[in-house]
Amino acid sequence: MSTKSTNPQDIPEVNLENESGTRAMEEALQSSFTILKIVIAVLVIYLLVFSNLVNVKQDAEGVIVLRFGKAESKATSPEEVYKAGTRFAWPYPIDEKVEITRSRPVNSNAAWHAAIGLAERGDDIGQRPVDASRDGYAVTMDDKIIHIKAEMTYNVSDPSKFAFAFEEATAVLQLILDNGVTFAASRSDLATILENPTQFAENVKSRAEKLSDGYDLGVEIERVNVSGDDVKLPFMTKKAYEKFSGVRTSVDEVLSSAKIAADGVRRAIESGGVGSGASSGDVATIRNKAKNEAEALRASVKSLASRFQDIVTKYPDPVARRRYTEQLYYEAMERIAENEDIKIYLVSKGGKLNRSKLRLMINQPPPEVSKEKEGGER
Amino acid sequence: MKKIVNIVIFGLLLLIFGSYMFTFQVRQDEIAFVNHLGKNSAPIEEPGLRFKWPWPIQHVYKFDKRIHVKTTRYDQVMTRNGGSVMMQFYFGWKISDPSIFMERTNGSDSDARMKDAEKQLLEIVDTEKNNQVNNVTSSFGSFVQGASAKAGEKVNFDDLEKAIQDAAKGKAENLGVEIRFVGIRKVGVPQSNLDVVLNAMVTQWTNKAGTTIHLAEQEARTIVSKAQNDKETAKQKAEAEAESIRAAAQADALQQFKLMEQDPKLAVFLMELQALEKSVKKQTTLILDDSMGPFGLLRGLDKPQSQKLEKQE
Repeated sequence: MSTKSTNPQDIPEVNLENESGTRAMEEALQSSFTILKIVIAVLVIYLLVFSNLVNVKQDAEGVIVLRFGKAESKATSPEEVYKAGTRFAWPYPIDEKVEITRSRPVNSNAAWHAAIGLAERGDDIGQRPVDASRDGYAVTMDDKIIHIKAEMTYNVSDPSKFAFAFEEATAVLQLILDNGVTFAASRSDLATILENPTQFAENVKSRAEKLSDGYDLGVEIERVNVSGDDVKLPFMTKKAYEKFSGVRTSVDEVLSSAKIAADGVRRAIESGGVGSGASSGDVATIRNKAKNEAEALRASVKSLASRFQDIVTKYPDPVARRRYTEQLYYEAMERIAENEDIKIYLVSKGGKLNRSKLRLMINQPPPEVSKEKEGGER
Repeated sequence: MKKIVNIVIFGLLLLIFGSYMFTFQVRQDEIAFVNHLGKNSAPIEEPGLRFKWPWPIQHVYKFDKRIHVKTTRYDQVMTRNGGSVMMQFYFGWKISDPSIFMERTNGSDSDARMKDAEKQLLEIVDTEKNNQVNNVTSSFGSFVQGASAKAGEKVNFDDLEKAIQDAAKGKAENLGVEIRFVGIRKVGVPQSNLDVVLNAMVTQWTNKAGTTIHLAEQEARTIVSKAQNDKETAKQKAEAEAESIRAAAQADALQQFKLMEQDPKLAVFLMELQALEKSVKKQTTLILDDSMGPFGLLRGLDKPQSQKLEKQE
């Protein structure tokens, strides 16, 4: 294989200025710079104008524009702040806009228990104690512990005070709500809070309003919500309380069944009561039985007397009467003997010295114990 | 044209950077101090745009003069009787005297000075909180308004909050700060007492449930027993009535029996015969010896029965 060396002096000189590709590149770069300038100009205009435009929703939001850090008194009136429309502000440091949400809820979890994690197998949530370092709770008037959470909705009535008198007015409102829950709980008993959380919420609201006015927050408290789910007993006391609160039902059941039983007993008496005319009931049974017995006795004796009188009349002679009675006796025995439902066993009477004995085998004799078993037990 | 555009851009940039370097704004909720080569100016409280020399000649401190809120730790506070109660307070404060505030707080910048002020205020409020709670409370029960709390020992939330605020006021003023309000956030019992309270709740409810059921059962027994007594009384009355009915029937029967006194044996015979026939009606087994009734014939012929009777008479 032969190699051919190339001398640099032999390469012809190239004139780049006249190259068409370079020219095209230069044109492309120029047009790119133009586009870039336009984009920058658009961005500057956007930043100057549009980023300082704010749309205000009627009665939901508000804006106060500060010119060199100061708001005009007219600009802080609620009507002006909450007026719907678009507001314009120059960029800082000329103008500054302060946005206000007119109505917002704040939540109090200071008296609520810590989140429950995944329970381990075998864990009994009913035995979970209250941990003072993690769990919040309130103490009631009757020295009981209860978990409560609440939600409070406020309305900013004085935007100037709300925005410029407090560094963080929402945080103050939250603390006011916590105070309200603690205060109201200390003045209510547990049963009232559990059974009537709405009334409890009213008490919290009343306290929150007092504090809010005292602190001059520039807000109106619209409502405080405490629902049944927002009130919870400590886990380890729940079963005992359920048992306690369920007692009323058990008591009602016990008393109700006792009253039903008592009514039943009384009805049994009354249905046969004097003058009731009813024929059922214990009293009636006793009385009817006695009446029936009395009637039967009267009828039986009357029949006997009638028969007696007939015989005496028919057989005035005692001997004839005696014979007649014998006849009656044998006729009776004959009727008995002829009755298929009656079994008659005749047993020989025997003599004076050798009287017949009758043995009735009522029960089977007990089984005999085998001799082998007897021996084994010994 | 190109030259003009470049000049405009340069001018704008100069304006922006210049405004940041040579001006500062004081908002209506701020106070500012201009520190000139280490010396602070008088406080600037009027809002507006101000001129300043750039660092390191002048440095501006700006403070938020609005009300700040801070909470104390939730920890144990001793009561007058040596007990303890868990409490957490919050307080609102604001700069009242900017010059004193600037003088009494430390920090390289405004934020550091505000934090230092908060730290000092927290100590003041903590101390006064401990003193006032110790003065007015004898036990945990003082915070609840139930019947168990003694009248003189009930703590009024408003009074306690005001007392702490008033007590902390003087010390806060030394810092150039005004404490605007103090509030109670949480009241609780220490962990050791917490278990006692919870167990007491469980025991109380369990016992109450047991007692209530027991009393209800007693009442139920009384209701049923009263009804049973009424029934027994009514039955006794009915029995007495029945006895009198029977007695009347027996008296009637006695009248009939008197008529049968002319032949008592016949009367007895008729009664026995009637009883015999009534008692052996169905499913009856009679075991007789062969001398009874007509079965005597089975023993052979004897004197007629009528002759025997005559002889007996």
